[in-house]
Amino acid sequence: MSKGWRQTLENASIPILAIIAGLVVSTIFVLIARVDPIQTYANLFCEGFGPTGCSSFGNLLVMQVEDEESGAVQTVFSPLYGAKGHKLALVLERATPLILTALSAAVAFQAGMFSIGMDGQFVLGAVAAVFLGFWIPDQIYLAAGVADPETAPQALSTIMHLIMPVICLGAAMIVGAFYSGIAGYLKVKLNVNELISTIILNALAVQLVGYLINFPLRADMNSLARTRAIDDTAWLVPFNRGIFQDIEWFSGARVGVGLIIAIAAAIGVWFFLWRSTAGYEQRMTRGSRLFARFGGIPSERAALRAMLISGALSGLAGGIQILGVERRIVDGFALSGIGFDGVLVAILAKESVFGIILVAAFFAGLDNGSVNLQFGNIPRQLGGIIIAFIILFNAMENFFRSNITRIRTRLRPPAPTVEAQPGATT
Amino acid sequence: MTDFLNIRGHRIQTGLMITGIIIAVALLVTLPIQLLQSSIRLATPFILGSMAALIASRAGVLNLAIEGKMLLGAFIAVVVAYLAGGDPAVGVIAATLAGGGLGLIFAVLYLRIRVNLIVLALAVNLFVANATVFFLRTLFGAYGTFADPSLRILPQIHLPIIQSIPFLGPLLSGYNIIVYLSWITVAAVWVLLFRTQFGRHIRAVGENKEAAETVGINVTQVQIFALTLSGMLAGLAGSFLSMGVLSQFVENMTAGRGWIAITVSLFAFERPVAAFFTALFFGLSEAASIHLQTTTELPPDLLLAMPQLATLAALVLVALRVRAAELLKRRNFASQFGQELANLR
Repeated sequence: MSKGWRQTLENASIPILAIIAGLVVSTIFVLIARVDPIQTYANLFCEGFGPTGCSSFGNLLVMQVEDEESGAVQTVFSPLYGAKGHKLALVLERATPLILTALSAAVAFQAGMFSIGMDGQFVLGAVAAVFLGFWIPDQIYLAAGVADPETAPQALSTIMHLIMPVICLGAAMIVGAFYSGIAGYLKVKLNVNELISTIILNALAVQLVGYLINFPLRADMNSLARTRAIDDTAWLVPFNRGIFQDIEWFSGARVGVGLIIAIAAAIGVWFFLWRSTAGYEQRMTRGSRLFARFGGIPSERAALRAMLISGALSGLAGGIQILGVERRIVDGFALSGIGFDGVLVAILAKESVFGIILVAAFFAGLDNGSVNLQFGNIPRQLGGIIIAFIILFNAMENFFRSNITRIRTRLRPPAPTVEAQPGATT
Repeated sequence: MTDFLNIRGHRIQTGLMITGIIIAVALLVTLPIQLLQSSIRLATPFILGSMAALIASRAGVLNLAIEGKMLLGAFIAVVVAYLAGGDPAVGVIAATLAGGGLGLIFAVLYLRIRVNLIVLALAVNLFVANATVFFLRTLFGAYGTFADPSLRILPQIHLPIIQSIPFLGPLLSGYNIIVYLSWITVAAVWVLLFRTQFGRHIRAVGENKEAAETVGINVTQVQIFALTLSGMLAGLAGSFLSMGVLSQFVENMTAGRGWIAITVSLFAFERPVAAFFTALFFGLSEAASIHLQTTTELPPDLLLAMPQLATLAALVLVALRVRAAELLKRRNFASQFGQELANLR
């Protein structure tokens, strides 16, 4: 095994062990709720990652299915068995914004900025996308003299289908970057602790969005305040309504172009961080701001740039969540916590881009699964408890590492001494 | 500007203090008494929380888990009081102990197991936020809110002599025990930090860990003590939220107050008395937003943003203050050093 691979394996082993340890410790809470832990976890993973009809751990891999017409029983490979929809498609739907917010956190962390403002940037990006998503088409229809969007000329609607998502997502990114830039500017120029300032900015964003939804942007007198839905031309059509509408695996999940954008963003972030000068500068800045500056690196600019990119990614996540999934903002959207989950994903994945995609998918499944546990008398907060323990165990890395090295050195046979008699032991 | 500050520093300080007192008196006279009373009440969790943040920072640990410890205190207070037949005092004591316990666990994880401080704090906050709701449902079957008719609130205590003073009486008297405790805590923390040997050790550890270690101070022990005490105060602050006014536990009822408490302590430069007045200001801004909500037509979300905006402004002011202080120090050092250099020549 080459050295690089061994390194990767070693890096991956700690999060995996942390996940196992987190699940094991959380069984205490399942037992307190007086429920069978094994069945609970089976349900959790089935609801999170399994096909429809899954009921045990084994079903995650293979499942016996009865054909409805002939009654014949056959064994299928579960991850690809998509009748009535597969939970993995829901994982992809949920993971899309998580990947983006986690990338956002990773970019900020990699510049030494411990920003956790992803929640605020996410909701503000979402508001920008939803507002432009119905406002611009209104203006265009008005200018073109189209009374009913259904009767719009083909050419106009084609052009709008092409540009509207770009405008909305672009605006969401700008808004996110601006909001993150406030914290970045305060940190760089005035040395205001970015952790605390982003927490406050998050709270402010949540209140601002609550106000906007309840007052200026409120669409109707629905008991739950909500905005208008975005125009169809701004909609990022999910796979199950578009190109893959015949594949049952995707049915029920609103995963779409957003996922492709998220993966592309991941590749872009990887390239930026590890293959570009700017990325090198900001990683140097993380190591030591003064050292970087003495090395001729404009560390303040690098840190600020990282914050702007981070904000743009979070804003993009919010925009995609609106254009691809929600299509309107309903009261309570701001409290979804997707931004904060992104921070946790980035921490657990140690800011590695590939790790972020995997961990985001894992968290998404855990989240979806624990929501559905609620029918089985287990509060969905079990998911949060498991995640807290996983984060904690993952952070104990140094402790485990040093102990493992100690045990290893103790177990290693002592070097042969002069007194040792060769041949005596054989 | 720095020269100006340098020469007239003392006079400016006095001037600012007098301005502050004038503003405070003006507020006292013009604002309705109910508003002032509710702001003192609302300031209590900030006072206790900022003391918790301050002790930890003085010992060199940025305690970002105050939010979680407060929430745990709020939860334990209600649960234990309920199990003890509705006696609020038992709940308050239990909350303080539970906060201390969590602080101790936090300290051990940070100091012995070397978990990253910020990640640890995030994990603790996440755990408490989820575990409280989890237990609420599994143990009591309550969704979001837990209240029981058997739960009593802490009685109001009327101070015997002060009560009869014409204007200050209603302002200083008629609160529950935790409010008075919070005032006593401020004095106690001040005495502990600045008038005892142990407090000197705490400050030494916070100033320079290595130096403190070389003169024989047990750094780990000091930090564990500080974090435990900090947890106890945060737990007490949380118990005020749940038992002080309404005697119920609501999901995520701290709602960011722990973070505001940290800002209060930062704003006050980790000084107890200054933190007390800053906390009063935050209590006032929260009370004002509630007051305006009932008396005006302004949208509630924007009014609730008032304390947050105040916090953000406070952060910027803190930063400017630190910057000015640094500049001043540098100027002083330069002028002094220059003089010595001239003397040498």
